[in-house]
Amino acid sequence: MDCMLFVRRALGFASLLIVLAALVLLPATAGATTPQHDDQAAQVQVDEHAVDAVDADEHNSEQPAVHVEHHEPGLGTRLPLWSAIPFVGILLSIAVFPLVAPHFWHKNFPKISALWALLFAVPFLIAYKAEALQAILHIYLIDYIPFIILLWALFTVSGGIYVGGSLRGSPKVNLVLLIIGTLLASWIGTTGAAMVLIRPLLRANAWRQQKVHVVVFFIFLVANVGGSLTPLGDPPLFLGFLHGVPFFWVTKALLPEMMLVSILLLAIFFVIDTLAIRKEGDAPDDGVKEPLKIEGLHNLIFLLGIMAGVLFSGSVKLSHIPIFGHVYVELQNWLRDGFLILMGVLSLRTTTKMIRKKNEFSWFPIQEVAYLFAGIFMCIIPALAILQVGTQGALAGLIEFVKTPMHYFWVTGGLSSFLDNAPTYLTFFNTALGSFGMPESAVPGMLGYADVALRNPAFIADLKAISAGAVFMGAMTYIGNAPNFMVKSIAEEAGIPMPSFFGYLLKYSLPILVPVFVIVTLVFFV
Amino acid sequence: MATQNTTTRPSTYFELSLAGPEDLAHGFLTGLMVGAGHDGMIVHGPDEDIPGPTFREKIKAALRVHPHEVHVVVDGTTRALVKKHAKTMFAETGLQILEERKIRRAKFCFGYQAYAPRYGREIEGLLKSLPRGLKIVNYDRKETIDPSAKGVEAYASTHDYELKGKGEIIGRFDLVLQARRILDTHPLVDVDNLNLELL
Repeated sequence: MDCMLFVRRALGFASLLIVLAALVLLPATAGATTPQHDDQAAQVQVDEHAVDAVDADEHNSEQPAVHVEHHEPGLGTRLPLWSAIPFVGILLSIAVFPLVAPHFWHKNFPKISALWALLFAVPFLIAYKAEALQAILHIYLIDYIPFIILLWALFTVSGGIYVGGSLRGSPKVNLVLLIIGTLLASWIGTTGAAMVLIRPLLRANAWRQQKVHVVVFFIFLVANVGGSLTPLGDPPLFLGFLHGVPFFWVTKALLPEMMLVSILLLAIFFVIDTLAIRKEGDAPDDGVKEPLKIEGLHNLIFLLGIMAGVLFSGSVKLSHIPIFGHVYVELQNWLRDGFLILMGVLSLRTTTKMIRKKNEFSWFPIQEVAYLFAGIFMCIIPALAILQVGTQGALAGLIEFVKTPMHYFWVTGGLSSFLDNAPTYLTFFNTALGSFGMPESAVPGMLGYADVALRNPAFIADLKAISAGAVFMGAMTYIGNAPNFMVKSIAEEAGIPMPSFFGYLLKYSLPILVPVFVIVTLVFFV
Repeated sequence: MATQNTTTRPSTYFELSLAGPEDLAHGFLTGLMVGAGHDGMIVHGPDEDIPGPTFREKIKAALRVHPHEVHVVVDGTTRALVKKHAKTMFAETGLQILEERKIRRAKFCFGYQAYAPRYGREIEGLLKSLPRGLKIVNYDRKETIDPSAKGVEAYASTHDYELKGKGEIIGRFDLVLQARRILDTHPLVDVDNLNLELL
């Protein structure tokens, strides 16, 4: 068994090294062909100031306010590729440590995150001084703080909703629970939906002999695919929102893809569960029949408040508040963050402690996100800066290699399977922008929100593929998306023999998800 | 599970290798026992994960270089019954006894992991309820309690309670078979193939 464990761990390292090698080698192996988007880029190339001017007139759209570019032009052209090593390092740490040294990771992840962040920040500040400080301030003020506040608010509010009662886990009941979770995930976040519904699902299936597949499909649908319709659903999409993607763009853009994946997965689940239950027979009548009940329903008001706050920041443009150099924070974003905090505080004040206790609510998951993403956002600076300058940067090869929506879907998705999907999304979001030679401020325009004339169908197709890849393929492994591990852990504590990392991959992801994603590719991305 | 009284059972078991189709062998032997009113033991290898023909044997059988082999385990009285009717069996069905070997003892490896005390107690209860006369060798049990790991985690997922164990159970065939069936009922226990040590 030790030998098997060693082999499994060695395989885990090997697969992650392959991913790492792919990241490093892609630029070198890519051909010197002309980027597919060059012509289109020429058509949509607009002056950044012109886009800002368009945005300034566009107060009634739902797009977020555009802020200044990350860095002075040229920072991405000067940063060497190896400056992204801490970024790769922190992502690999998140992927590998929970598998090979879970207790060590549990106790030391804040230190490891800080170590990678400092490894980049100290030399970066010494070498680039004010320019570096500006880049760091920008990413923390514009990305990190709103990101954490949103996740905190969603987590706090959804943790105040408790689903009780004694359901019987038949194929129909499980199907209904999965559909509810899938629909809920886009509005309370995949983590929130998973937290609210995993225990009712486990209780309903406690009598079942074969229930591993129920939890696995819950991970597929509720913890991942279901979160694809709004920026509240999954962290990558909120990062997209913070970088100019309008709130309801993903709702319209990804609805067909999400529907197809969900229907296929639900149909497969129903067949598997029906076959499984035929071998098991009917549920035993244990006499315990507690009616289904939902406590803390008033938290839905706060969820609506969170959505309203996010929509407000995307549809209203108030003044800029200068922070340092070219870094500004927009007033409507501060108001949004304050309102989100208020929603969370109100939820805490108005929800009984018993409800949170029944949900086994604790602050630890949000502390994890806060510590780890503090490191991730620091370390991602060079990768984003290099990608933003497109073919002029050290990752020109990657930009030339990833050309079509199909490439974006599978490369973003493939990496999101093994690395956290939020930074992966941001990386390829910038890769797509870099391939068009466009600044971030042009995103609403390219998506057709500022001016129909600026609409760029090729960029829209790429961004759909990136968004779908990042969200859907987070389900491929336990480490693809944060709630996956959480669900696995809760299920294991409920006595369910969850498959190992490779067991999940080989028995479920590869035979079920990959064919579904191939169909999605053929239908939408070819 | 109550400890079984093992003294009234047969203590000698044999592995019979029969040449012929698997379904035919199973059907004939079952019918023979019913027809003779014999209350002995017959265990079909694949039903209990007893390793059957090797890959090489299967290839040979497929190429018709070697007959298809069926492995069954029987107690001494059943073996005598089968041998008594061996000629009839061959004449009626073509089934032929290729080899018979006495089983010295049987064994299997097991492993388990539980992440809640309730399930840990269940598994340890099962291990204590196994039939007397069996040996557990190379038993490695590790219980970890880490109060700091209590609660829900996403990126640093650990359990506040972990019980992991593995070992090998060795003994008389029927007792080992019974033990394996008992452990196999628990979803958190993995049992390996039931291996026979032949004389």
